[in-house]
Amino acid sequence: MDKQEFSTAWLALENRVEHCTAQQATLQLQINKDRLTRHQGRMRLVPTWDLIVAGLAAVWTGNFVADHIHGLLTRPVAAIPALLLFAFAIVEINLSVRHFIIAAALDLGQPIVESQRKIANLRRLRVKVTQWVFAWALPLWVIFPVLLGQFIFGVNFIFAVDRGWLAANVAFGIAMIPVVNWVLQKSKFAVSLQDAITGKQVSETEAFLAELAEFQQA
Amino acid sequence: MNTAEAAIISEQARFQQLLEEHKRLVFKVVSTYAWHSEDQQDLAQDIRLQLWRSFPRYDSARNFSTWMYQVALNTAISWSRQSKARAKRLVSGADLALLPAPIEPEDSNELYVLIQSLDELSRALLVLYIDERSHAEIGEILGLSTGNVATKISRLKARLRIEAADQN
Repeated sequence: MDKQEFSTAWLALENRVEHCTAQQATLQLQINKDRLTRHQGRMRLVPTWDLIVAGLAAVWTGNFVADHIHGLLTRPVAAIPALLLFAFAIVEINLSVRHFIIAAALDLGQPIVESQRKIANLRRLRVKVTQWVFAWALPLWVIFPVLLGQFIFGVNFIFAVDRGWLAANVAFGIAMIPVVNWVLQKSKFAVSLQDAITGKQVSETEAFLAELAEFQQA
Repeated sequence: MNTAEAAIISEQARFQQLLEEHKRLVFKVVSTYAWHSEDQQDLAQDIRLQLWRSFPRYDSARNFSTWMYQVALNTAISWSRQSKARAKRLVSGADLALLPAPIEPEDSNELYVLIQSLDELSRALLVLYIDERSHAEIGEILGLSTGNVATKISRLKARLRIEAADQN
């Protein structure tokens, strides 16, 4: 197949695309616009949500520590949950802001290798944030009611609950693993999330970054 | 109508005109990365929308088609990678019934098979080569040196020759 034949075959393909596009353009325009708007909305929604939740958590824990500073100084162990949640919120804010800065600087009118590298880096950051949130969300979910109890009732549940109750909760958590696993396999979103948590998406993105580097070499 | 609204309308008209003048470029990119009719519609729409969103950053001192190729190819490469990921998830979710029907390329079977055998970046190189862009412009679009472009085109041609020979 020489270049001329190739070009002719290509032209036939282009014509088919043009014909098809013209035929369905009106019908598809609104559907596609909606789909793209939804997709872009989802892309912004996650970091926006992360930023709001982390912002509220930082303000709330900051206030909590300030209000109870004397009590926390006399019993420093009681301050650990609040400080952990505060640190988590600060890191989360930092990562979300970084996401927005990188996304705002992304210009598709730049050379392909450069733009694709930025897109891949943004994707890697997003996936790593997801991994990071899931790694910390479970222990922090235990800390959160502890803090809430301290804040509302002035009782630290770590010191208040008995060991049997804690053991029952741990057992329940373990028993839920196969149930969660079954749910994860049924949902496409959950499968994607699972890929993010297990690092499959990071390795795929890193493979693409390696491919870009290789492509750039002579 | 105030000045700001007039400026937006004038900008839209300029964009529409440039898009119309270079519309075949979108078809070239779409036909390289998407094969199903619905996918082609999706990708063409994505490219037009990204072009419009990126248009405020377009420097009019630059060649419009070069800039347009960059946006279109970037969009198509990202779209293609996302499509692959979606397809993988469908398969891993054992949801095979949702996979699209097998492709039935009509008169361009050979071309289809050849393009399919290439990765996304090589396809970008191929579309620019077939469109008879200079090595310097291909380098500018892809972010490669002119020498590197020449080497890659030569390798690509050799590879396509082997693939075509295998098919025959």
